[in-house]
Amino acid sequence: MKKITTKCLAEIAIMATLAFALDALQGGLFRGLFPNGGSIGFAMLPILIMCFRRGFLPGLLTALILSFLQLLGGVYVISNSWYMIILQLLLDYIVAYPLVAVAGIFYKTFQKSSSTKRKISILIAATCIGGFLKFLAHYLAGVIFWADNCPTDFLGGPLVYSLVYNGGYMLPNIIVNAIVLCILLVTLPQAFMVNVKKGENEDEKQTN
Amino acid sequence: MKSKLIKNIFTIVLSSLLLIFGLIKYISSYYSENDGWGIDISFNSDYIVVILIGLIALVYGIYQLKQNQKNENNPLVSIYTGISICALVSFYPLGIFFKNLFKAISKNKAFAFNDYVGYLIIGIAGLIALGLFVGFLIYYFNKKKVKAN
Repeated sequence: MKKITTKCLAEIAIMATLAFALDALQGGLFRGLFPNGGSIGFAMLPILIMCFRRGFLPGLLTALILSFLQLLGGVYVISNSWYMIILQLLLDYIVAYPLVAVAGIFYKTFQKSSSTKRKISILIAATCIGGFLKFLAHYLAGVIFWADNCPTDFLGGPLVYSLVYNGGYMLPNIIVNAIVLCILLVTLPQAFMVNVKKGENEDEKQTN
Repeated sequence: MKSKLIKNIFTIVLSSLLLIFGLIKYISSYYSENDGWGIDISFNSDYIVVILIGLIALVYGIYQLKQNQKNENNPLVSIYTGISICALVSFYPLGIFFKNLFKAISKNKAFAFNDYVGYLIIGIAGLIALGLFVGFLIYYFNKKKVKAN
């Protein structure tokens, strides 16, 4: 089990705050395009950076803090039974961002690979997987809870409507974040590596 | 040394006050409404930003106090703190402003500009602060690089 250092905890807190701020900005900018929620932007980026920089657990913690902050802003529940309310909260608020942190399972492969090309391909694959899992959570929530939002004459019904609506912002999200991550890797590779200084070696050894 | 200590204690006290103020205001902003289709449970999320700023400043103050005791200096924590506070102060108000603007447009309602102009001003000021901070960081690190060479 990895030990999370104080420096790592500080990074988690800062990245979660950045993600929260970015999420608020993109949520506002895309309110007109996606009135029922969803947006395109870089809110996933701090989580993904933490996943590739520190690993799965720090990435997951960053995402969980972001989810918690979103939950603090208020919720809208449409179910009557308590277990459906819990399921809706899970899919809509709690699980969606932490699923992005699944990208962190590629951490060791990413850190071990020496060529930039290979690193880029890992980045893209991991971002796609994380993004797809987040999309899956939103898709399920759309089908189960928000089916009434589907126009009555929509071809394919809620199953297709949820796919089109949630795919409409998740696909650009994945593409945009993957591109920015690749640019960051080429221009600022230090963002993906933990700088080991003299005196910090013991600390880092414990982390790894 | 003494002035640093006073500065750190001042940061800790001020951030604690901000944190407590944000928490009290956040809890008292609880609002619940059943619109017939679902239940809207909401809090004023502006206070989350106040709480977060207080929390970040408190962590920063405590960390700096610890660093002073050890006679160490890690500029990275100051950089992280500055960027996250600037990002919060700039991105969040802009997000609120645009959210309500597009909400009004999508519902064909008149946008109450006067109600949200404060968010726009704070957001732009935050963006300027963020730009200046990042600019200063680039200048600082370039200068350090030149000195090292």
